Amino acid sequence: MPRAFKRLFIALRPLAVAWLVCFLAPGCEALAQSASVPPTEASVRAAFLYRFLDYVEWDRGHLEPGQTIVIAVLGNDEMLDEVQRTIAGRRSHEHPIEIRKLSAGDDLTGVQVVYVGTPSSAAIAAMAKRAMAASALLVTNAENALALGSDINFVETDGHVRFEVDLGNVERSGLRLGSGMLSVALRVRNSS
Amino acid sequence: MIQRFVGRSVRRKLMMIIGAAIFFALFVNGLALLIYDVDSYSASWLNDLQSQAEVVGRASIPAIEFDDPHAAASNLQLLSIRPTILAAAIYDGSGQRFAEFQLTNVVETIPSRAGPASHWISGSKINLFQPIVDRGRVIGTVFIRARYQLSDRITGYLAISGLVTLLSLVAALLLSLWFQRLFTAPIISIAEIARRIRATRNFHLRAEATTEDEVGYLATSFNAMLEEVTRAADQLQLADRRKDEFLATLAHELRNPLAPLRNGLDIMRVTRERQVPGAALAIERAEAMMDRQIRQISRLVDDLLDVSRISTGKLLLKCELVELAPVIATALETVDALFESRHHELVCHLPDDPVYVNADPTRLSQIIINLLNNAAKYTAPGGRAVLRVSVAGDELSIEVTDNGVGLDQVGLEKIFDMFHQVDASLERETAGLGVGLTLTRTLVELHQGTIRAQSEGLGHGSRFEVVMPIVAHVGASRAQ
Repeated sequence: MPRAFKRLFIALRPLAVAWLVCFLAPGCEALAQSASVPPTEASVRAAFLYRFLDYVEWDRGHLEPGQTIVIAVLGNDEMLDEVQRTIAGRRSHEHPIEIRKLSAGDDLTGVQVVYVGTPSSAAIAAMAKRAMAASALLVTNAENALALGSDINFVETDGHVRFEVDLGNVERSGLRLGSGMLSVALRVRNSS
Repeated sequence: MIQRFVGRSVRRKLMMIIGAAIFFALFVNGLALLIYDVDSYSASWLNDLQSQAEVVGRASIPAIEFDDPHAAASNLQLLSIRPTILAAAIYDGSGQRFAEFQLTNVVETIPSRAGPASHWISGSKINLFQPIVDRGRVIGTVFIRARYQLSDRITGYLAISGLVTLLSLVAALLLSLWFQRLFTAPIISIAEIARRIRATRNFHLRAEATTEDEVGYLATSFNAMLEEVTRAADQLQLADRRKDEFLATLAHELRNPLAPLRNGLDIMRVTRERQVPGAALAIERAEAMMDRQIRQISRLVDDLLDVSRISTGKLLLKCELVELAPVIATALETVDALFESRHHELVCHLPDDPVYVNADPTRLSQIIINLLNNAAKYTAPGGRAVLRVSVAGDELSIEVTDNGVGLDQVGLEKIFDMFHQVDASLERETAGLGVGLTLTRTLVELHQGTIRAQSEGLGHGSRFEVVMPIVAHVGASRAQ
């Protein structure tokens, strides 16, 4: 019998704590509201971008242990804000993360991830060459971007954000991707 | 229950004991193994489920991270290779159900929200919540519901256990049947011998001791007891026969003097009536004869009374300090007539000095009379008897030697037995009940003395010697 009470107590404890927090914290309603609001596509993409870091491997020359991972965002301020909000101040494994706004002609030295927010094929193709040369992971959000040299491209399916991967481009950039990530990719291409 | 058990035969008891012991041992053993097996089975079953949840959980980390329920569902689908798993689900970090899986044709209610790490059993199903941990952070939960086949396991176990118990019991009973013969056959054989002895009264039957254990000892003891019984029975029979013979002898001995007494009376009556010449002499002779016969009867009756006293242990002495010489004189006086009638020569060697003994004078005299009577009776007329009384140290020796019929070895051994007579036939020459020497020996022993008989064999005469302590004596013996 005491054991049953103990179980009940353990089961009710989180509820009690939640109730206490809601009761005591000012602006509890707002908090509850924000929790129920569905995430925007930009925020999902920002979260994905952060999670990609767990699956990508850079060569030692491009990312030393403890070195800051620089994510450079090109041509989409909304995405930049979202990435800033979602990722800034967090770490990926032992690496600190820095978010940087990228302009078309900026040098990619010391940049590990490039996000091209614009659907412009020309911009993507141009950046793809430079990113590949700098061994930076190129993430895009445009149709047919993999063919233009992108490594990972966001796709929207049934209202969900998914992504597709081109292993050929990844390899040419001197990068490797974890298989766990590939298992959830919508499409895995291997361009030669 | 116990009374019913006690009433069974040894064979049944053995079988019941062996059966009960084996059943108990197997039952306890089976129970212990069952408890252990159920415990380890539950542990391994849970462990197995946890491992599977772990595998599915880890494989589903990318699916949760990249919000891909399809990938998670396809991971769950892998569980279908285990038919015992009925349903499974994956929950995201906020506890919302993210993907689920159900075995075909099975409708299971899957919890809509994740619970804390736990497992519980509901009926024949086991449920498990297992957190998915990535780099120390809980990012989701796996739920698995599987068939909990414990009852099948227990049923199977009990079936095997029951079968083993049954087979063991049968084997044990067969074995016990064989062992039984080993243990019970000797006992049953003894019981059978006992039964036959009771039925036939044949005490010469014997049990066979086939083993050297307690049963063998029992058989040996049983046989020894039978020997004892046989011997006692033989002795009783012999004593009985002796008593019969004694009665016949007694009747004969008591009847013998009656004819002379009647003759004496007739002589006296006829003599008185007819006034025949020399009547006074005839009457005197008849009176003397009748007096002898009456004394003979008195002696017989006295002997009988003494026998009775010996048998009941009531023969008592009136001991006093007596001088030996007058006692011997009385004895010689008593036997004188008998020796004379049989024309025996009696030679006496007596000590010169007075010898004093602590004795009952009448009984001491009786001892000497009996020995001299014996010598006179068992010696052919015209024989010779010697009475030698001597003192050596503190001991007095009274020795009676004759040149009569003598005794063989068997006779020597039995000469002092009650009712024993050298010639047991009724037509014998000598009179007597066969109690004289028995009585003599008892009297000697009551005087703290010993008596022994010696003979060179039949026809070589015999020698009886009584040795008893003295109180005082003076001088050495001299011939008389």
